[in-house]
Amino acid sequence: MRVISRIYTVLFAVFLLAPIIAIAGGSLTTTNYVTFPPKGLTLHWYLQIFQQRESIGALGLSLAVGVAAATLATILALPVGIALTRFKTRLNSVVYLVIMTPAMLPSVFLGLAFLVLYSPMGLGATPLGLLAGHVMIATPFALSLILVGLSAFDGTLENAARSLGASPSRAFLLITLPQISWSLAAGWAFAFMISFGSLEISLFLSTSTLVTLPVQIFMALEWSPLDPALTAISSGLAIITLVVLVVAARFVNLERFLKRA
Amino acid sequence: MIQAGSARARLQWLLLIAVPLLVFGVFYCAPIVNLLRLSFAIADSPTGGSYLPRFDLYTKLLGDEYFLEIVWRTVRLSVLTTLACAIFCYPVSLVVAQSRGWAQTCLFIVLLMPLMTSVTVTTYGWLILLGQAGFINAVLIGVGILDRPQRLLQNETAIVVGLMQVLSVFMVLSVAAALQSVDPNHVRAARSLGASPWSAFWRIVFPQSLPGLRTGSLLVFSLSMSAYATPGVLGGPRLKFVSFLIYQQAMQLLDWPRAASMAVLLLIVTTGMLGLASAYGQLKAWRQQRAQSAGLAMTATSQAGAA
Repeated sequence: MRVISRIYTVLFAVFLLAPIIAIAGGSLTTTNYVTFPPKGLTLHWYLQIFQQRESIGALGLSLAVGVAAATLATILALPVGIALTRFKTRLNSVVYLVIMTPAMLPSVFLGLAFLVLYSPMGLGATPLGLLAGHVMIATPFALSLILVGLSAFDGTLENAARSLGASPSRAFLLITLPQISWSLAAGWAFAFMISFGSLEISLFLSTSTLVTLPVQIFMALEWSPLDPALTAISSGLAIITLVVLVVAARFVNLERFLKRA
Repeated sequence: MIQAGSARARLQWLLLIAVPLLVFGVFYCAPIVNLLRLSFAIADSPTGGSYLPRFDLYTKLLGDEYFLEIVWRTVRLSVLTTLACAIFCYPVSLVVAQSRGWAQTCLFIVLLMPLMTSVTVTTYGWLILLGQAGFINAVLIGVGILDRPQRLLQNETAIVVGLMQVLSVFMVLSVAAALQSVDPNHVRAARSLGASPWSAFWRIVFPQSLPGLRTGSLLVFSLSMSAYATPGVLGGPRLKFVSFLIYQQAMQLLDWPRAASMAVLLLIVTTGMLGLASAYGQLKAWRQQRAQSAGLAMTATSQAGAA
C-alpha cells in the first residue's frame, strides 16, 4: 500500500512538472525547431535571447514592473498585516476581504475593470496603469505570507521591549521586524512571481509598445509556437520560479499553507 | 492582542490601514463598481455614455445562442476538471497530510511550481509534449498503442488536462488541510474495535475530509471557469471559453459595455458560488456554536457527523 501510494505520488509529480520539464529540455535542442527529448545539447538558444531586442525589452519591462509591484505590494501589505493581527475589531474582516479578493476574482474581469477605469484616469496605456494593476493582484500574496510571519511571531517579545522602555516604533523596528523579515522577503518574492507571471491583467493593460514577457510569449505562441529561442526564454522564467520557491521554502515553513487553506 | 475599545487603539488601527485601503479603493474597488455600472449601459455608446439602469445587455446576452454555447462549454469542462482533480488529487492529499520534513517541503515545491510558473510557460510546455511530433505521441507509438501520430491538441481533453495541471494544487492543499485535522486516535479507536483499514478510512477519515473536498472543488471550479490562456492555447480557436470571448469583445471589437456584462455574468457564476459556500459554512458554524452554548453539545456532534 505504501509503495503504491509513493509510486502514485511520484507519477502525479511528474504530471505536474511535465510541461516545465518539456520546456527546459526542449530549449537545449540543437535543431531549429523545439523537440522533446532534445536532439543534442546546446545553450545556443539562451545566447540567442540577447540578440532579440524585443524579448530583452519585454523581459526588462516584466522585471521592472515585477520589482516595483512586489515592493509596493509589500509596503501596502505590512501595515494591513499588523492591523489585522494586533487589533481585534469586526472591521478587520472587511479590510481582509478588500485586500484578498483580487486573488480570487476572475482575472479577465479584473483586467477589463482596470482597463475601463484607468483609461479615463489617464493611466490607460502607461507603465503606471500596468503597475497599478499588478500591485492589486500581487498584494494578496504578500499579505498572506506576512500574516504567516506575524501570527507565528511571539508578541510577548515586543511587550518585553516595551516594558523595558522602548518606544512602540523602536520596539517594532528592533524586535518585530527582524523576526518577521523572512516572511516579508517570501511575501515580496511571491508577489514578484505573481506579477512577473501575470498574463491576463497585462493583456488588457498593454499596448504594442508596452509588452510584458508573458504577453510576448503568449502572442508568439499564435505565430511561431515551436521556436527554440522562445522556449529558452520560457525555460528561463521557469528556472527563476523554481529558485524563488526553493529559497522561499528554505526560510518559510510552507506547511502553513495547510493551516490557511 | 489589543481590543479596539479605546479611541487610541482605534486611531492606531485606522492609521495603519488608511493608505492601503485608499489605494485599493481607487485602483481596485472603483474599477469594479465602474464596470458594474458600465454593464448596464446601452450598447450604442462604445465607452458607455448613458447609465440608465437597463438590463438590455443582459437579456440580449442570455438570448444569444453563440454566447450560451460558449458558456455551456466553459461550465461543462470546468465541472469535468473539478471531478478529475477531486479523483486524482485525493490520494496525493493523503500523502501530503502524512508527510513530514524535507519530503513535505519537496511535495510543496512540486505542487506550487505550476501555480507560480507563468501560465504561458506551462501551456507552451503542453504544446511541445502534445504536438503531432511530440513526446506523448512518440511514447504511445513506441508502446504500440497508436500506429501513427494522433492530434492530441485542440480538443476538450487537452483543455481538461492542462487545467488540471495548473489547478491541482488548490485541491490537494484544501483536502490535505482537512485531513491533517483528523485525529489519528479516532482511526486507532476504530481499528482496535475491529474495523478494517478500508472501513476505518471510509467511515472515519473520508467524512471528515469532505469540507476540504468542498473548498477545493469550489476553488478549482471557479478558477477553471475564468481560465484564459490554457483553453485558448490548448483548445484552439474552435473551443473558446468565456474569458476569451470577453477579451475579444473588449480588445478586438472594442465593445466595452457588452464585454462588461459578460464579465459581470462570469463574476456572478464564479464568485457567487464561493460566496454562497462560505455563507453556508458560516451559518453551519453559527448554528453549531449556538447549539453548544445552549448546552446541546451532543446534538452538535451528531449534526457534524451527519453533515
